[in-house]
Amino acid sequence: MSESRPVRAAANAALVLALVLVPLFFEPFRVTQFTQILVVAIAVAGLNLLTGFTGQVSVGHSAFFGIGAYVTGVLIVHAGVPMTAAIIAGTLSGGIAGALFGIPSLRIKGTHLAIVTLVLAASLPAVLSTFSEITGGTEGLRVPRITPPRGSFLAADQTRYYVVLGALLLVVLGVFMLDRSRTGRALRALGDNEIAAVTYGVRPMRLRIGVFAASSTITALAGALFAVTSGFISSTTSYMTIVGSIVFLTALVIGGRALLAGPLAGAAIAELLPAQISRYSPEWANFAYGAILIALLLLAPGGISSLRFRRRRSHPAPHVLPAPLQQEETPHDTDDTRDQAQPTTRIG
Amino acid sequence: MLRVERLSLAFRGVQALRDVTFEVAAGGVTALIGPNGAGKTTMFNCISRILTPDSGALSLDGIDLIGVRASRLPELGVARTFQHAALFPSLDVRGNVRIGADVARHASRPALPVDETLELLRLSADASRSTEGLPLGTKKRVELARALASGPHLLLLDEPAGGLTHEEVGEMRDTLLAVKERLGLTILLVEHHVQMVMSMSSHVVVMSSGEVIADGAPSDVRSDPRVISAYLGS
Ligand SMILES: Nc1ncnc2c1ncn2[C@@H]1O[C@H](COP(=O)(O)OP(=O)(O)O)[C@@H](O)[C@H]1O
Ligand SMILES: [Mg+2]
Repeated sequence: MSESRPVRAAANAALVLALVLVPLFFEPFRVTQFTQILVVAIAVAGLNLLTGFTGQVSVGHSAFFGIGAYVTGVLIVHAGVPMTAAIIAGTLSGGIAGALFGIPSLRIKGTHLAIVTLVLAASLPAVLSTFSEITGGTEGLRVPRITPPRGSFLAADQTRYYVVLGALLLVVLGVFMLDRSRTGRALRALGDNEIAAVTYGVRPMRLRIGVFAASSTITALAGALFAVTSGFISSTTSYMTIVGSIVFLTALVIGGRALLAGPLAGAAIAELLPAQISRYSPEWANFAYGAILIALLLLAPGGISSLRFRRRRSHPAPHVLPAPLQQEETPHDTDDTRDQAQPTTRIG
Repeated sequence: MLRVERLSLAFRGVQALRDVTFEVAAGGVTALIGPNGAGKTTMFNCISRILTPDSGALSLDGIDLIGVRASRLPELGVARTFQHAALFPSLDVRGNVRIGADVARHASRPALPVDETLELLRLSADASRSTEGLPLGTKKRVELARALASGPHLLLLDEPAGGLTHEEVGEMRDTLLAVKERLGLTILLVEHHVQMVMSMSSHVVVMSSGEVIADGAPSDVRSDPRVISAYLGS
């Protein structure tokens, strides 16, 4: 470990430097495209927080993205709220929605959470259409975009890029610090072995609601920034439909666990690859997401659970006891199917 | 310190505990022994509130434990280890021990500092290693370190010597006696290793098929005909 830590820190510093320099060397069209990738990376970082700590998958994050985008957009356009305040309100709304939807995630796990969040994702466009008076429905809503501060030497596209980059770096730093904190330890422990964690004072309810809310808050921030950087949102914007959730998940699976490089690489590939494909055959673009996602899930050795934050192995791990010797008396009222693949997490 | 009164618990069809009554005196080592399937681990799961008994009472220094949630027990000074070391593989060795220390800090209770705990259990060199792939003897020490770092008054140990080599059993025994003295612990010990039990405990409770069949000083229990037949019969 002692040698890989400085190497990783140096690699991250180089990555941040490259991200800072990028808009100085590209034309506005590209910078705008990169800004969109950073927005998606923030959304993916939010999803990564949930999946990384709990191993749970949400198919509903497009809805949190949409809530963030619409609360921000509607407040600016219809209520004349200043942009910064509207972004904060949009972000927090996503968090509140996340907390409400985090509650069912206490009782249901794995596939079931996926279904509840699927319903959420599927209903947002309908809700937006119902209130089309204020949301603009499928016609959409024009939102004023971020402009450079007076006297700034940055162009508008560069300003937007840097605002979103700043937000991404803050989010990643926040997740990094959370992981190092007492709460982060408790979350990892809870994901590893719920009963042992509870025995050491971890309270699953609060943590699960909290992590789901934090995750959706971050994704809602991405939505809010999308509104004020793209300048146009509609109920058919793909990020706000189920397609958005699939894009975020695909990016998460492509990018893997690394806190900064993961969401960035994932977002870049998930954004650019289908765009490349659709140049040749548009109707295959969405299919590409699905195919990539399924292929990656099949290829990832531990499936979704391999996406959890882990201690890096410092050496190959010989199994001390063959699994059959560990056959065990698990208390009767737990049905944690997630742990079945891990003999070391049984309770005795 | 800990009183267990007429505790009963059935799993679909299996009466795992039947009117179990015993007491753990403060400052001593009470051993809970019995053949496999006697209900020892189930007893631990009841005390640590992972399971709720069907009937009976459970109290710690006069506090009724039945009404206490599992996650509050460490605050009350109860720590336990698991029969099959239940470590957290996504944390390194130090992280596992810090989980215990977090409890002590939360309950604002004095406890050994993490580094000292690691030192005491000869884990300093392994502190930043993953717990996966550690030898069983080391895993058991990590579990003990995690428990000690929580600053417990009552320590529940489920087969701390299970699966260890002869030499490691001796080491575990010495370690336990040393930390008990140093931290003034009360220990409830489930263990099959007869020599270890007899040499450590001040009081032995013997269970068989969910019932207490003997309760007394180690020397008395050892010669009890019911105990002998329970062990030979299994
Ligand atoms: N979760 C469970 N579900 C059903 N039966 C169980 C469960 N846990 C323990 N038992 C049964 O309860 C009895 C006591 O088990 P246990 O407490 O593990 O014994 P010991 O620890 O003394 O070996 C055994 O018959 C066991 O099969
Ligand atoms: Mg047992």
